[in-house]
Amino acid sequence: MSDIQLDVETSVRPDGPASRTLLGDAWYDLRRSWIFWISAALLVFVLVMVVFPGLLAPQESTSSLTGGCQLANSLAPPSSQFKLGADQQGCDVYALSIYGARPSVIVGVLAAVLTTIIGAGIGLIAGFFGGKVDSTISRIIDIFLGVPYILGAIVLLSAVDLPGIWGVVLALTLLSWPTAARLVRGKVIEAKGQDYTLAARSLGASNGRIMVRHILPNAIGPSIVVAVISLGLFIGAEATLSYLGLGIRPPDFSWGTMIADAQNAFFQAPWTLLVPAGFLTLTVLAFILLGEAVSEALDPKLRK
Amino acid sequence: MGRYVVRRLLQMIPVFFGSTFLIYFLMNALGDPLNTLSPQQRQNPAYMEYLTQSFNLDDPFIVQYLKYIWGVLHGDFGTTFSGESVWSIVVERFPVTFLLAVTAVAIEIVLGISIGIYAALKRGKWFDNVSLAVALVFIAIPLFVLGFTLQWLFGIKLGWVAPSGIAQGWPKSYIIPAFVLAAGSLAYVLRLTRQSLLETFNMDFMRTAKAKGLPSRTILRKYGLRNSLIPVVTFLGIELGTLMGGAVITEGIFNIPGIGQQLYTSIRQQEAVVVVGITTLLIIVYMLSSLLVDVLYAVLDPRIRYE
Repeated sequence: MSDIQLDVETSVRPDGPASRTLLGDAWYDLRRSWIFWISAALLVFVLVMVVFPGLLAPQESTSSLTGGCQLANSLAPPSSQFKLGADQQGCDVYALSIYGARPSVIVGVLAAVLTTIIGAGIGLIAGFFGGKVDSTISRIIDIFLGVPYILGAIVLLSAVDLPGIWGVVLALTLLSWPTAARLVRGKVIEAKGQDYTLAARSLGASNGRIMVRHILPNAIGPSIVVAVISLGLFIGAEATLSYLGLGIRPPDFSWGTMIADAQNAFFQAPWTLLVPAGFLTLTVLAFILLGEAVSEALDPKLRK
Repeated sequence: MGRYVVRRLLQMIPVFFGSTFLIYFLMNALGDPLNTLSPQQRQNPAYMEYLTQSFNLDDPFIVQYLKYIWGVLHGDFGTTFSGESVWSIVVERFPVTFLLAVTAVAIEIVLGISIGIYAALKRGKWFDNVSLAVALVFIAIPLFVLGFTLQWLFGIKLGWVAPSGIAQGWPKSYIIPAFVLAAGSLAYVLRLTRQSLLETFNMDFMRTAKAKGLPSRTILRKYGLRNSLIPVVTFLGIELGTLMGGAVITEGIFNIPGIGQQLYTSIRQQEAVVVVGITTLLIIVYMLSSLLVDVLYAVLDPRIRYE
């Protein structure tokens, strides 16, 4: 009898190995995942490009006003002067790609944050209250999902005269919240029937408190993983929209506008397109890998 | 089952009106469509009057929408400013995009599922790792970058196919664009198949099948695949509709005269009637294919029953 008692005590002791928190476990798994370290290395590089681009390339070489771009160097191949070649205007493609990171990444972050907040809020309301509220919201979600993504973005961006970062963020958020909301809704319905929710209710907790303190923390996990992955995909979407001439417009530039400008010169000077496209793909990849690694670490079923 | 299908069809009605209204509203918010006409056309008051009359441009927005939807319900999809019937444009261009999307889905099924199965069987070996890494790159690379690169590689450098247009017919003109269109989803299908199959491998019935001495090929075909392909079928079901809507960029790069290209032009010229007409059709395709998937569920998995 006393043996069993002892066993129970050791297993629940707060500093014992068996009582690590969910996040502690996740971190323990993450540190052992090579996918995580690859994405972390890439993300550090992305962060430096966004916050301190000056460390990687001088800003003067991105503009003709400061003498960085000279038409004489138009489409110059990679050399000691232009590490990754020059574009049609004679600008250093490497420097442009470094400075083009900021708008692309900011769009991705803003769109991912807004989509998650709006999606989680609406999904929480739909899943928690159920009934008429739920069926109304679900129909609205169906309507939005019925509109083809690219098409919706093209129409939206042509309709609202909001050039630059905010227009793209608005379009991406408006078209993506339904997916996030649907995910959260499913998880909320699952959590609503759990014992801890019933316990909170029987203790007299208000609807608001149950939603925020008990259901949301249990339902938000998967949407955070999705948010990280969609952050990467939003960066790709920004490039697509800028490529169509609907996103970021001159004199501002992003990877998307660089690729769009490079189209005509592609066969002559492939580096003008491949360099920004490479930066873009690696950045998107970094976020997708991070999402992958985190979702594996957070999923107890996959734990070895 | 029959009642379930009827209920689903009834649920489509509000979604149908909602989506068409949303698109019509957005197109209307683009501003006065007559502003996109050439200056010469705008100086002709009779012509302007004729357009305003025949497109109900003087009516309040909601009346315009109701008149339009009334026409659609009577099989009249309207005409463009130049008088061409939207229905005839759709009939001419829809098959092209449909063929492109079907080819893309076929590529997803053949390559995605077979590579996914092989990767699951070789779990942790180099084939598995390489295919997963390539799949992630395909998800990360934007469609238009892949489009340009493959167009250059196969169209110009190797010269195996014409770089653009559909003059060479199916499959030669369609295979590269369809692959580009399919790439992202192909990677997704591959990963989904692999993961789902790996989960099925752990099931008790798989162990039972093995224990009673069935050949491993039979176990895979009759037990493994049938149980693990359900999520893949779900994904592929809504895929056709999504791909047709997503063909805008692919059709632009490869100069394919489908509805995607038409949509882009029409949005730029603010021809609401064409945009709404084509989108309506796309939405119908999308809704019908997702219904088809739910019905297919019951066929694939006898445990699922709709009441």
